[in-house]
Amino acid sequence: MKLNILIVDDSTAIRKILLRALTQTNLPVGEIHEANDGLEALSVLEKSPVNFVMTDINMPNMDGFELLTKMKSHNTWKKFPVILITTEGSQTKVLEAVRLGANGYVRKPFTTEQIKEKLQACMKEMGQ
Amino acid sequence: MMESMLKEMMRRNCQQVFATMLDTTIREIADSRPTVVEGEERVVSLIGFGGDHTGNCLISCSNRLACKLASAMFMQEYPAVNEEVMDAFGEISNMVFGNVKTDLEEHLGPLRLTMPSVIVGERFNIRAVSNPAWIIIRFAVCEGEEVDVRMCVTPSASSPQGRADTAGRVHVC
Repeated sequence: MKLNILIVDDSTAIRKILLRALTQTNLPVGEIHEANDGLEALSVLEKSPVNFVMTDINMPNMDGFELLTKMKSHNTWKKFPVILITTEGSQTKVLEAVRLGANGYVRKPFTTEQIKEKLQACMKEMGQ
Repeated sequence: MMESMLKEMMRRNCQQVFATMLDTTIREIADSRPTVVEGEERVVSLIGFGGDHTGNCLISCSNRLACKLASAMFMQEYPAVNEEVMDAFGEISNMVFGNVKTDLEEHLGPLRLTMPSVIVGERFNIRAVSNPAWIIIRFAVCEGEEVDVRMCVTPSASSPQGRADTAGRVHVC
């Protein structure tokens, strides 16, 4: 099954870096969509065949935690793996991410290899 | 103690960001006086933060180096500073100081960062009004280029330490 990924980050630079990293993983990446914040991400989720989300935490309009909460309360979206990609590294934030149901947590700065490892771990959980 | 601790956080996080995202090794330069080259256009990324402590952080370098760093980040050439170069530079500062913030929070409690503001120009000064002096470290990057990293921190008026001036305002002249 192809990974149709939604990248959610208010930094165009990070979205560009992740876009390149995803194409370099040699994993079955299909469509890649982008959103500037959680609110825009919800709009993309409504319209596009996304099945995997990578999101920052600190964003305007709607942050990553709120996006994660809304996804986990949606009948369809709650099945999509969500990886948080952020500079936030305090134990409080990590525990909050786990509590809200995040499937992975990557600290910025990151390497392509780290992204690939997280994707592979999530795919294994999805049974692929 | 605060200054040496902050310098260590700035040093470690700068080196990690440059190594991981830009595949670049940076070397701290002992002399921390800011370099100003007459007529040189520079890029500055400025971030504020607040909480029980307030302050400002910035990273600065020449336009030439900013273009090289953007090239390393995005794997394409940038002959001049444009929006993508400014985005790249803003993100470098965001990652460095985002991680410094995480380290600082263990000592100072919750802090929040603003979004980076990236400024390009020449012959400008940046002063954090009503804040203590900048803590400065400089790094040699490549081909004689250097990056200037600065931070200033002060307790907020609302904090238990209770200083008189609460807001770190930045005046660019």
